[in-house]
Amino acid sequence: MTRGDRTSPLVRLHAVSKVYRLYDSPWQRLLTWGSLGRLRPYREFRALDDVSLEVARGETIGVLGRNGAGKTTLLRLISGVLAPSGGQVLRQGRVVSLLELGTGFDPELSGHANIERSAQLLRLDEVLLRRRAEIAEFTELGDFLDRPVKTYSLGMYVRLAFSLFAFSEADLFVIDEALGVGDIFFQQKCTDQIRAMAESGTSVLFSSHDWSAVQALCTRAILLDRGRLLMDEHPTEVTQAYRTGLHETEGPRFDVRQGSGSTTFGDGAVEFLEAGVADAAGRPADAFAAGDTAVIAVRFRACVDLDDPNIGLQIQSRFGQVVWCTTTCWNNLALGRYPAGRAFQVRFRVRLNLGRGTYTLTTAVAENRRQPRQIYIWVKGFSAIQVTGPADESYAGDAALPYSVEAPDGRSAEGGPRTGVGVSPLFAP
Amino acid sequence: MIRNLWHHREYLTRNALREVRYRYSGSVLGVYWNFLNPLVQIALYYVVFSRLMWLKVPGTVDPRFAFPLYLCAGVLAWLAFTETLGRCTTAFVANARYLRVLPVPEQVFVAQEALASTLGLAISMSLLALATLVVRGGLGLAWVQVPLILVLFQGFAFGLGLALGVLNVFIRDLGQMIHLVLMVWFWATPIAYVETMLPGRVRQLLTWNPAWVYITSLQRIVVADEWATPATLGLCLALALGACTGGYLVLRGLRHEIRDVL
Repeated sequence: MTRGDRTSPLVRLHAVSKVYRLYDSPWQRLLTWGSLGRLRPYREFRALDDVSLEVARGETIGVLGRNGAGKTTLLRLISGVLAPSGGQVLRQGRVVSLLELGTGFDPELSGHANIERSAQLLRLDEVLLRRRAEIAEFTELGDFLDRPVKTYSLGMYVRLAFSLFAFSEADLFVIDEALGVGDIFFQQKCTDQIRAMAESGTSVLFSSHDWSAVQALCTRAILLDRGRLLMDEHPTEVTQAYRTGLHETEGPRFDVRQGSGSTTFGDGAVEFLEAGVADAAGRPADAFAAGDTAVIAVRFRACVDLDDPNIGLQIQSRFGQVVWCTTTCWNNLALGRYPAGRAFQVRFRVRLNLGRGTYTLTTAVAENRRQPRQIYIWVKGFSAIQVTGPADESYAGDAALPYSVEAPDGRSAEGGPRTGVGVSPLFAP
Repeated sequence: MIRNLWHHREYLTRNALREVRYRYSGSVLGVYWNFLNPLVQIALYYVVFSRLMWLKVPGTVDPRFAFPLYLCAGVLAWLAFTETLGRCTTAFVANARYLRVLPVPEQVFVAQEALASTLGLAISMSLLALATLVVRGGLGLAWVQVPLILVLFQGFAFGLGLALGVLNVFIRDLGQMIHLVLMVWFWATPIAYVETMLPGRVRQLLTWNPAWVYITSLQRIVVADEWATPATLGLCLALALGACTGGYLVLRGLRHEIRDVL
C-alpha cells in the first residue's frame, strides 16, 4: 500500500458527481440495454453534484447535512465502495471505513477467526495479523474470542470491531453515523478514542446529524445539501449554518457564497452591502493596540419586508473561537420596520481588550429572538483585524484585562490595555 | 480481474476451507458430512446399477462396473457444475450486505462460491478414485487428466456464473431461471443415459452443448481409461477461457452500477 508523500492530501475529490439511474421496472432496464443506451426510460437522481474536496493528514472532518443530502454517498465514494459517475476520486494511503469492519464478521465464526477473516477480506492481513496479540488484548474479551460472534452482546461486538479499526494503521478513518454504526460508537463512548486517533495524526472523516459532536471533535466541517457542497469551513460556522437550515420546514434554502476569505449564507431575506472598520477617530484601520476602540459599521439591505431585524457581531480568534459577540436584540435595541429594498446600517464601538493576534469579524442578521432560528444572512470573516500586545511585554494571554499588582512592601504597578483602569472615553459623547 | 483475485487468494482459499468445515457446523458428524454425501451416492449407484440392473456402456467389456462409474463421473462433475453456476448467479445478491459497504472487488464474491464448490468436487472425485481402486483393483493412468478437465469445467462455470451473477443483480429472475435451464441442460448432456441411445439428428445437435465435451471426456477416462486428445483438451480450455472473458466483459460493462442497485 502506498503511503505517499506526507504533505500531499490523502484523498482528493475533483468535481465528483454520482448519479443513480432509477428505473420503474426491470423491463425498462432491458430496454436500455437492448437499445444500446439510445433509449433512456429512467429518471436520474443526482446524489452528489460537482463536489471537490481534499482531506489532508491529521484532519478531523465532520460531514453535516440532512437525510438525503449525500453524506453516505460521499463517504462511500471516499472509501472506494462506489465509483463516481463523473469526476475523479484519488486516494493515497489506507482508507478504512468503520462500517466495513463490523460487516465483515461471520456470526458463526469465533472472534479470533473473524479477526483473520476481516483481515484477509479487506487485505489488511499484514497489519492485523502482525498485531493480533495486541488486538486480542485491546478487546478485553478474553476467552470470548474463542466463541462464535453470534453469542456476543452488542457492546462486545462493537469492541471487537473497534479494536480491528484502531489497529488497522489507517491513514484515514471513515465513520458513517447515518448507518447507525456511528451511533453505537458514540453511545459506547468511543469519541475519546476517535479523538486519540485524530491526535496521533490519523485523519478522521465522519458524517453525523449531531452537530455538537462535529463542533467538539472536528477541525473542519463540510455541509452538504441535495448533493452539493455548500460549505467547507471551521465547524463553528458550518454547524451554525446547518442549524439554520435544519429548522426550515420546506427544506433548507441555503445560499452560500464564498469570496476572498469570507463566507456568506442565509435564506435570502437580507443582502449584505458593505462593512467597514475604523479607529475611534473614524479613520479606516485594521491594526489596533490592545485597549483601542474600533468602530465597526455593517450595512445591509432588506430583500423582503422586515420587522425588527436583529443584527449581531462576533469576533473570532484565529482558532475560530468566538472571543466576544453581541446582538442588537440582547441589548433590547429594536430596529423597527424595513420595507423590501431599504438599506440599514448599524455601528458597533468595541474596546478591543484583547490579547495579541489576528481576529476575524463576522456579522449576521436574524429574526428578533435571543436564540434566533431563522437567519437572514450570515457574513463570516468579512474583515480581519490585528491587535498588538503591550510594547513592554508586561502581560500576555488571550485577553487584555486592566490589572494592578501589589508588592509586599506596598509598592504597586498598573497595567493592561493602554487606556488603563478607569472610565473609558469610549462611552463619552 | 485476475490480479485482484490473486491479491485475495488467501481469503479465497481460507474461505473455501472454512466453507467445507463449517457448512455442517452444529451437526454431530460435522466435517464428515462432506464425505458421507458423495460416498453414499457412489455406493448407491454401484449397488443399483451393478447388482439390480445392468446397462451397457459402449466400448467397455465389464458391464457390471462400467455404468455405475459412468454415472458417477458424470453426476459428480455435473453436481459441482450446477452448484457453482447456481451459487455464482446469486453471489452478488446474497453478498449484498458486504458489497454495499466493503471496497472489495466484486469478482471475489463469485470466485469464493466457485472455489468452495470446487473443493467439494475435489472431495467427491477423490472418493470416486478410491472406489474405483477398490472395486476394480486399479486406477487407469488417464486419471491424471481428470483434475485438469474438472478445473477447466469449473472455470467454465465460473465465467458463466460471473456473467449471470452480474446480470442477476439487475434482473433477479435469472437466479430462478438458472435452475430451470440447468434441469434441461442436464438431460441435454449424456449423464444419466449413454449418448448412443439418442437418435442421430438429436445427438448431432446436442454436441453443440458446451458441457458435452467436458462430461464425455471425463466419462471416457473413468470408464475406459481413454486419454483425452489434445484437441479435446484444447476445446475444454477454449470454452473455459471464452466463458471467463465473457464474464469479465459483462462485469466490466456493468460494474459501476452493481453497487448502486444492491
